[in-house]
Amino acid sequence: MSGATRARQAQVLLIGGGINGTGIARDLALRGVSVLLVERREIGSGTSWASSGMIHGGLRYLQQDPEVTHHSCLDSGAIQRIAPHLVFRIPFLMPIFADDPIGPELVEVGLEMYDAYQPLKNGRPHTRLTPAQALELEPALSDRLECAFTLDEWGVDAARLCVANALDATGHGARVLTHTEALAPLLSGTGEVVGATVRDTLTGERFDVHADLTLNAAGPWVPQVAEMMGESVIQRPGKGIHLVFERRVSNLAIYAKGVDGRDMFTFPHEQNSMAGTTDDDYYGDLDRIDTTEDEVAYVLQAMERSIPTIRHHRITHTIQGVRPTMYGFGSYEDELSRDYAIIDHGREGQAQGLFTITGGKLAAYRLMAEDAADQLCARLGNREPCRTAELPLPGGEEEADVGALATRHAIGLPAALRLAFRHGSRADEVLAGADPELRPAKLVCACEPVLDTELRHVARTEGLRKLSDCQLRVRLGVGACQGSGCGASAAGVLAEELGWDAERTIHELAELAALRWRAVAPVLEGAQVTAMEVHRSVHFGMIGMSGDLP
Amino acid sequence: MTGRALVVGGGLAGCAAALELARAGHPVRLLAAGPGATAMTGGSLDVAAASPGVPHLPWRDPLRGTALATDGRLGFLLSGASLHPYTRLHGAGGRDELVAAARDAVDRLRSWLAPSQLGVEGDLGTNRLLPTAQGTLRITDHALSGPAEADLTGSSRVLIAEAPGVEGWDARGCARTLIHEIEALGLGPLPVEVVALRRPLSRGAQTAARVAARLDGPDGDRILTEALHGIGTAGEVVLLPQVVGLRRTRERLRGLATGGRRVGEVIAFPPHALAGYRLQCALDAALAAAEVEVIRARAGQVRVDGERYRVDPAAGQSFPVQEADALVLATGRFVGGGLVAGPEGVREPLLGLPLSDPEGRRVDGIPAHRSVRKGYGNPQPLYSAGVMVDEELRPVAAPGRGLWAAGEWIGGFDPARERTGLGTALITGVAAGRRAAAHLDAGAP
Repeated sequence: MSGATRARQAQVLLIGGGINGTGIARDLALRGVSVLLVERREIGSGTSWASSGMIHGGLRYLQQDPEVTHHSCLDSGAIQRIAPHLVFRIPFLMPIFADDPIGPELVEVGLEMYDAYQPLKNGRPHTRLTPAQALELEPALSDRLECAFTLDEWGVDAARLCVANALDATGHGARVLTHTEALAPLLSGTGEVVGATVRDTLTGERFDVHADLTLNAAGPWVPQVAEMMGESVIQRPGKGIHLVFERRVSNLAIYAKGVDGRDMFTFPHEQNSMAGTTDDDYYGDLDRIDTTEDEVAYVLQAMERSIPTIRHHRITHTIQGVRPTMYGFGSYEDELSRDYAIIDHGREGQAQGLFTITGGKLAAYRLMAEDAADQLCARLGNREPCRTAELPLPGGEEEADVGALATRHAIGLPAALRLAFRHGSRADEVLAGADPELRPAKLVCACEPVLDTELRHVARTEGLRKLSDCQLRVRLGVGACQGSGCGASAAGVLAEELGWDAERTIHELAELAALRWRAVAPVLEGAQVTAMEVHRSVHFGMIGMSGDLP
Repeated sequence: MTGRALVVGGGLAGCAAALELARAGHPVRLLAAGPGATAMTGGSLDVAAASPGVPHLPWRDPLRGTALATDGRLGFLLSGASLHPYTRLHGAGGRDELVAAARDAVDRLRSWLAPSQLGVEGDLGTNRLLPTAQGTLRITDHALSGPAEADLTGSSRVLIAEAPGVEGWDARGCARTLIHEIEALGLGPLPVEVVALRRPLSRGAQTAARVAARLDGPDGDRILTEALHGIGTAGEVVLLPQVVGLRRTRERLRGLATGGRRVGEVIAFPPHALAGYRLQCALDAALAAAEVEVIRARAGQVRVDGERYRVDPAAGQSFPVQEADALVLATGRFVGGGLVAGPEGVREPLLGLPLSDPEGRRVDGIPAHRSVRKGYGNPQPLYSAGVMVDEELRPVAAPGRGLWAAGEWIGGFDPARERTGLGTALITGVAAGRRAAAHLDAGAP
């Protein structure tokens, strides 16, 4: 349909498919509002995915933003209720050293304050440990510690959380279009924003989306989208990176202090550990964010103080993103508010019909979505209450029986566990296409047991469009092999499901390889150098990929 | 009284050097840390990585798209711009001398692998068209039994066997790409079809190695015969994943080539590849037959005392210090442990030798991530660097006159991009072994 314009209608056009966009889409859809969401790349591929995936209250924010802590803790409890399968407990250990800027007594005062919030998110109160007790829990800790505290937080697969919200939205009538970018506003005769012209970046197709209200939820791209709409929104974008370790470095999350006194931590995340994060003003290209050598050095230096052996662990890659932090002048990055704002441009005498959501935190996404949806619904005259805190997200309905899943489909227990974590009570549906005899579910990747059936499932039912989107959608290629073992197999499965021709299939594979290289190159050391040597011989030597990559 | 010969490295290059030394009548010891890059190869054995008349395909290296005959390709590798190890081998005779050396080395390899019934098919004058598991076509001059039998040249139809439970194998995906490749290369008409086997090869979902192990069992030949019963007629090629056992590959595939059909395996890569393990096993058998004394341990440091070399065990390894009058080092790159990326930068662990890429850029003593470029497809100094050698294959800056380098340990080329890794290992391994033997024959020390 190139050249032709096909119009679509919705009450609300959402621009941006991160946790804000998908969370708001779900909220609105549950209230019966017709929603169309456009995401320029893949669901959750911006800030959401690059976050720590921690749905914590933010002990860090207690000093400056007790409101943020309260909201985050409250919402963390709600997320645990609606997506119990996606959430995991992360106990934290905070070692205290003699040269710490704040001594144990003062730290404990803060933790006692934080304890008051813990019941909101089913967390346990802090405990104080002797060095011997701490070392028994985590023998890799530096034995220089004076004492240690424990506190309780929760983690989530952030990309999956976005997808779960998007799926529930589509299940309630919303349309979610990935790889579709907003190009220009549609304006009424009186200058109101009544939607946008959008373009499918994979097919090139352009069409108009007519909407009563348009919400800019583009995260760090909010200023760009606002500018495209003829408006101005400023942020104080803050870049953050995480180092991803091949396996778990510790059982508990461990606090570490940066040379500047900033708190960071290394924490178990799915089958890896991550360490981070940084927070630096960022004015570079938002579509090509690379981790730099000094960021890596800064994080490792901090981690080394708590875990002296940290450099012996293999880092496979980094993830990096930019926070859509609200603008503030004169503060250090860390001291900027993590609060959020919903801007009704019309009320400010500018474009009628256009809203923006900016700032905020993953942990409080549901509350923010509720607030945004309340405001949009008020404008639309919709009086339905918010139901996102009660109704489970897809898969959160009941607990999956992992043992039965493994037996019924003749798959390994780790693969079954993983599916139960990612798809909850719907894990059985994921395996529906497999037949233990005729078409057994096959391992596509061994780094993490990714099954071909999961790829087929996401291609058929979740609107997956690209191989590179599998990095987030099914965590493909983010383990030690970085896609050399699994990329080609996965490309074959998707080619079959999505009807790709050979040219497209190889192109998708080349694109995945190029993206993984970008994630690996800044931290390429030690055993990962060997893994990438194999990676290159598979791609260039055996499959015959050229140097002419995307 | 002969001097002592020692080879460090048990891949193709090290084995070739050791077997040449043994053939010359020298007692040889070989230190092998474990399976390395040789065991991970996919079944092609490129000497020249040639590509005559192949039109440009978009995802292909332009080098492969030019109409170079095999000799032309070798010529390119020998050109002034190249630091490929081949440039060290041609001596006064130029390209003809290299071609003769390559032919001779391949003959040697055939003789080593023959007792294991593993064949090396091909010659430098012709290209083989070998399908990969992904359905792309790998164009190469030589191949090992398994993939060699899958050569599409001269076949009338390609039948791709479905094997539902074999991991890493997708017959329909392979077919889709293969049809496209055949069209793009103008090889048609060559029909490609997916066929169901008469009985399954795997029990549920299994790795290719697991299936192969089963087919090495007492029922293996019967299972294969029954599975392929009635599939394919004269002139047709039946493609299987790499599952036809670890042993006797050539004879088993010959046995299956009934009624004029051929049965072969696709080129595959780890963890779905078996061809490299077959090669490694056959080489190990050849070492045993030649009475090469193999020490399964990692070498630590090489010291030199006058003209005599001493090799210590690496940390955590235990073997008596090995003394040698002639020493061949063929420790590979990162996979083999011949290069190490550590906290003090990239280094060559045995002698601390300088490491350089084809443009003369040093990578030793520098953190690995500083020797890579951003784009994945760019030439990467880190992966084209190794030790530098002189015309005699002696590492430059290395002490003494009794030391030779072989295989991918030698820098100046990118084995993944050049696709001449095994060819280089074979030819330089044979050459290094012979030079070491000549050195000992001359009465060294």
